[in-house]
Amino acid sequence: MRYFSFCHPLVLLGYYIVTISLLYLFFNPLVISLSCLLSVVFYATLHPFQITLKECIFYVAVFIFIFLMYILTVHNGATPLLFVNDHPLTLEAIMYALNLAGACVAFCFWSKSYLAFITTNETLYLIAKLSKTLSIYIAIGLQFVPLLKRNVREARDVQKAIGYFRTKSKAEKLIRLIRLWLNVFYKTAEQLLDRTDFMQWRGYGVAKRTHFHLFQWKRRDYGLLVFTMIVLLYLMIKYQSFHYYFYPYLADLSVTKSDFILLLTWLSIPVLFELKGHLQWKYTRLKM
Amino acid sequence: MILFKGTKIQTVDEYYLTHLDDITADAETISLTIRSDAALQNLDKIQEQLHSYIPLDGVVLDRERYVLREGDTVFDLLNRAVRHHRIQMEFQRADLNIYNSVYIEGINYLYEFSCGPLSGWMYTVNGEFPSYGVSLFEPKDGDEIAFLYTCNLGRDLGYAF
Repeated sequence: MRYFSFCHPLVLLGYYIVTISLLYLFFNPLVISLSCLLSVVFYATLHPFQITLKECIFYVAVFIFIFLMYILTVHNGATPLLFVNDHPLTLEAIMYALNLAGACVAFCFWSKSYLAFITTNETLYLIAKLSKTLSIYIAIGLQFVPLLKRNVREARDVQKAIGYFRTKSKAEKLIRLIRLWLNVFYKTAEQLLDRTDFMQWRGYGVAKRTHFHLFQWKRRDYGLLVFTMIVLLYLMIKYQSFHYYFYPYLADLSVTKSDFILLLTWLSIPVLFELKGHLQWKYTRLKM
Repeated sequence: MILFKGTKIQTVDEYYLTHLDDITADAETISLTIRSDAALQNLDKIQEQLHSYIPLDGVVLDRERYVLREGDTVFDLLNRAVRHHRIQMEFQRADLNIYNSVYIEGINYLYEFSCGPLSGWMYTVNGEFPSYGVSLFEPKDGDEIAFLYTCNLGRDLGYAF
């Protein structure tokens, strides 16, 4: 069960936008490390342990790749630690690289978690007010990759079972795999485009037509919205102290205890929602 | 092992331990200076944390004579001078760009684009702006080389296209 997804889609979108903006607006090491850690924890609450572990291993590799690429290409900074091929390896570049890699990983985990609970209905609801056609295409576009992956898996299993890949030549095997991929790609695209047409034939997007939706504003949505506004306002007021620079020397991390608590609370909201939901469910079941 | 093969790793002190040739009577020499006057005049465009690295008189490296070795390019001389005086410099190697010349990205923490989109380092030889990269130009005995920071693609230094 994904309890955070019970919130109103607009509130969820607002939370996601503010969280991502925080990462890149201040580029503050404290914000990035907290955000990175809590994005992984949140992802872990939504997915089984094995999937989380697999993702973590992959993103550790991504983290290392970004980190190495950065420190090998950027040599700015007032504190050289050593020189590699006449180019300095500086403390500032290392810190920047850690933050950059952390911000990228956090962005990926937040986005993955957000996409995991944003349904087609919610996407349509959010964008339909701007443009009905655009909302259909975006909703379907978001489904494309997961659907393609599923279709490829199914087609590969079926073809494997009937001996499609049974050949000694590796090149032939590769050609067959590419052919299968292309077929599945066209099939998935066709499937999604057909769905767009079906929606339009059913009257979706026709002017002066209302659409039923399940989303209602509840007390917790107003609460979360107000908290989002407060956090945003607070951060704007304290922009100078949160804004961090790395070059030519590392700035002082001038974040107070209250700033830290506010950030921690803000970034923990999805995790707290999930924990509350799980506990509620556990104790409700026990009473039965 | 393959990664580290051919990689030269030096400590900070090793790197800056550069020997400058003594100027003898028959030695060929050039003079070199590095200035950031344009940055000084456009401090409002530059991030505050860089202000302390812009000298108040605009002189990053005062005019000094250096011995010209056989086959030296402007880059070789600049590299020797900044290493000797422990001045920070970052450059892009010649094989990494389309100009086949070393490109000076930043000197003394003042980088290209530090003073807006048209800023960066340029150099003059005897007051002229050569149309060659720093590692393609071989100076002659007695040349006066100056590295100058521009905030307006050289127009603030009197350079015209």
